[in-house]
Amino acid sequence: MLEISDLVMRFGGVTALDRVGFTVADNEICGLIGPNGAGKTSLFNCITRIYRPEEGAVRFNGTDLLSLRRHQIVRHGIVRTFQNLALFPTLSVLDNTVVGAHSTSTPHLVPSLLGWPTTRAARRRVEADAWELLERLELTDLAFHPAAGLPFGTLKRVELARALISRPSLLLLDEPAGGLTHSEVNELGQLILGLRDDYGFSALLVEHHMGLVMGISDHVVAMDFGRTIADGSPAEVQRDPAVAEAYLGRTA
Amino acid sequence: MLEPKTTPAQAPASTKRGPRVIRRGGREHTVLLGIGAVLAVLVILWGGQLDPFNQGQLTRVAIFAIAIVGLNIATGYIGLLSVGHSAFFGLGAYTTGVLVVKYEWDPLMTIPAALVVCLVVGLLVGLPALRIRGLYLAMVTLAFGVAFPEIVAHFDDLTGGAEGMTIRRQQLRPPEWSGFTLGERSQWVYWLCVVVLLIVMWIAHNMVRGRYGMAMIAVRENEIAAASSGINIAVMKVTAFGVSGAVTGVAGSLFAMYIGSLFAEGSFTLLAGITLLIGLVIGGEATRSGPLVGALAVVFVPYYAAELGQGQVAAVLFAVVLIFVIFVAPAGIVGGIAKAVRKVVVVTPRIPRKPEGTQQS
Amino acid sequence: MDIFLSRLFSGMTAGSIYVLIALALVVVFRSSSTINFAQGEFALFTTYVAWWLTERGLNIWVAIPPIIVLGFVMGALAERFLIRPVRKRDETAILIVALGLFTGLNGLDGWIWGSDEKVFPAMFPSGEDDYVSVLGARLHYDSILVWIFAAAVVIGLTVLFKRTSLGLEMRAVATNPESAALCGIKVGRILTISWGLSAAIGSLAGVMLVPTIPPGQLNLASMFQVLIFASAAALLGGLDSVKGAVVGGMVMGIGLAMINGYATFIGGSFSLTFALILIVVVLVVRPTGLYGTRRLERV
Repeated sequence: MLEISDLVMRFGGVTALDRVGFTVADNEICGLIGPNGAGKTSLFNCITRIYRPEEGAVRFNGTDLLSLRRHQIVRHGIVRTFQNLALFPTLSVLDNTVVGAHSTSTPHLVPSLLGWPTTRAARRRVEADAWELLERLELTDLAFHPAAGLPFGTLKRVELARALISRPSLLLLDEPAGGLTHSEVNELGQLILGLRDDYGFSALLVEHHMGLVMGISDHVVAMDFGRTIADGSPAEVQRDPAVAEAYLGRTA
Repeated sequence: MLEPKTTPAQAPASTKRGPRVIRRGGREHTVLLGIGAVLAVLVILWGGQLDPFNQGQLTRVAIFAIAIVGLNIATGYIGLLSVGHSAFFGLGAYTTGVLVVKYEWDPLMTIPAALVVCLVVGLLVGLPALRIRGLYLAMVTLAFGVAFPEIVAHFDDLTGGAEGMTIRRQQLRPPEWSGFTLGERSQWVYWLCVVVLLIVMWIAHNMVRGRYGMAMIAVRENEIAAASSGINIAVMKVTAFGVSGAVTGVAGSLFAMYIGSLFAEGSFTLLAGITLLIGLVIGGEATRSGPLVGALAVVFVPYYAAELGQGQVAAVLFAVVLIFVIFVAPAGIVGGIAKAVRKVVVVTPRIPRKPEGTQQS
Repeated sequence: MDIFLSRLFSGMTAGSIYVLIALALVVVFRSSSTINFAQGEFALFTTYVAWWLTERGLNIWVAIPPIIVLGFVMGALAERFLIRPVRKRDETAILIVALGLFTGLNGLDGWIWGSDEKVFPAMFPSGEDDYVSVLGARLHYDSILVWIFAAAVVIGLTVLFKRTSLGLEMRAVATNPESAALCGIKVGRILTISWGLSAAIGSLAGVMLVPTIPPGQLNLASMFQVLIFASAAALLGGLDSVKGAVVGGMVMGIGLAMINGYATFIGGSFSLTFALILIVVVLVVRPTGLYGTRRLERV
């Protein structure tokens, strides 16, 4: 369970997060919506320790995330995908996925240098695991292709594979539907729900595509100007006048 | 995925139909590897019976290849540009020199010593890398490379200072078990360097092919994603720099044994560091055989350039080749060849299958 | 007191040269956000050309304007044909090209003119008796003139950056090339001019440097140390700050003179090591230097 409370983050004169707080329960898909600049990505970056918030707390299953270093986050079961993709271009799709398992099965330097059998066995296990995921995500045809040059939608699935291989408990998805066609978004929604049912994780989903968010979320939080303005079921949030104002007020 | 084409044995694969696909570990692959191994052994044996001068050239190639493999770890794989790696080369050389001359160590024993010294120094130099981005790190390594001869000159009672240090031939005599006499010293050094080169290349191969190497490449290509995947960027960068310095230091140690007299202003200056880097880029960064090609360039370009003019022509030639490579084949000669080969033949890895009866991890 | 002043004066003279080369680095950094490692070798090449001209009988003062122009042209050509094509790739590609230029130019100097030391004529009268006495210390005329030239370049650059549209365009290109292009600024032309200007400043520094800084002769390694000292100076002051280059250069020059003069217990020359340590300390503690603008990174 992810608990965010009173998070404050400032960039110079701009307050990106102004006492943000909400909870994501186990196995729940929580959608985070809001106009551009509302602070959604800043929130993600705070959780994953790319930014350091000035005040507030973020706890996951009791662990204080703000006390962890960046590379320790995944060890506590939290992974993220990136809005503009953050893959490793020269590594193959399979290898990109395998890197995701670094924390669950860490390769050590000296055994690696010597080609130790245990290292090689571990590698085979991780690769087999990765292959299963690629099969699930229909990426096996491209498994050995370098990530560079593949279509955007495909790469989004690769990021998902990389995220899932560490068997996370919480998935932070940063605009997963960005750049996808309408049918691809539907597929994505079904995929996320299916993966959640198969593997069991909760997800916090930053998304602009209302169809996707309202369609798959169990719980929706709306933000504007760094504050949470609504928090409830998809239906409740959709009806909330503050949310309408935040969006419609913008387009004026 | 392309289907393997059946082509007649004599005709080359037609590029219109796409490259021929070979599975790693399959029969064709093993045969190709075998041929390569046999060729390598033949070349090494041929080198073993050359006259001292030419054999010495090959020895130098081996030494510089080791040095560039070291540089490749920091600059090619992790992406930390090091302009002054000549300082590690010199440090390894002087470690051997000092231990042999002043403390009468057995030369072979100085190799691990040089490795340890350079590992420690490499870790220390790697520490600033944690906070300093590429361009600025390059400046630090540049300054390190320029400062090294000065530091050597400063500790002149230890190192012979600016006049240099000479190791007597007697001290570098081949050990009893090698079967070489003092007169066959150059043979001994040749075989020693070749063996060390093979070991170093094998170690580099293991590192690169394995997940540790993948993690290094991940750090180079996208630090934030790498950290999100659980890679400890700081530890990896510092460790990589340490290992990189250690390997280049071993090369320096061998260099001391090969050349017998050390002169900091000659071999371990900034220009030497830049030459190593140029060799790496020409050969191919982040490739396994690039360092060897780079070493061939580093040794033979000056040699053949000497016929065109005075010694400095080599530097001009290097610059020209470097700029040519950067513009035409940024992945270096090896990268360029690999790209061309991939149009004809592609090696695909095995499909990972779960071992029978094991649990899901 | 007079020894202190002597050291101070020689430190200021060396410092002035470092200021100039640091300024050259700053000019390039301001437009391209990168460092031209080959800076020193551009200067060295033009200095060799100057030497060659004086060997042909030309007075050194007459030789200077053409070599400054030569420096400008070299810098501009390098930017246009070698640096610009690789700009779009990662930043290390530019560094490697610069390093290639470094070796290539150095080698070219050796190939054309040989690697022996050349006697270089002084620009300014620098005989034993050409000095002014200040509180017992000798202040040579050549020192004063070096300071004047350096000051002139500093003033010129400050005016350029703050008062002219060219300077404004250069600053725009440095911070955001795409936006600058959208505003109609010819980014390519600005970059070429910046590199040319930088190399021109370096050329001036080169001819002043050789006679005034030991060993006083021209050889292939003349610029190695200066590059390091000037880089440390530029870093200390802030890579995009003219004021910073001045402060940094003077600190380096005077600081080194004092250390080498007074701290003889260290023994031998530790100048480069000192510069190295300074560079590391600055980069770790305050990467933007004393006067550089802070840059925020957006994820």
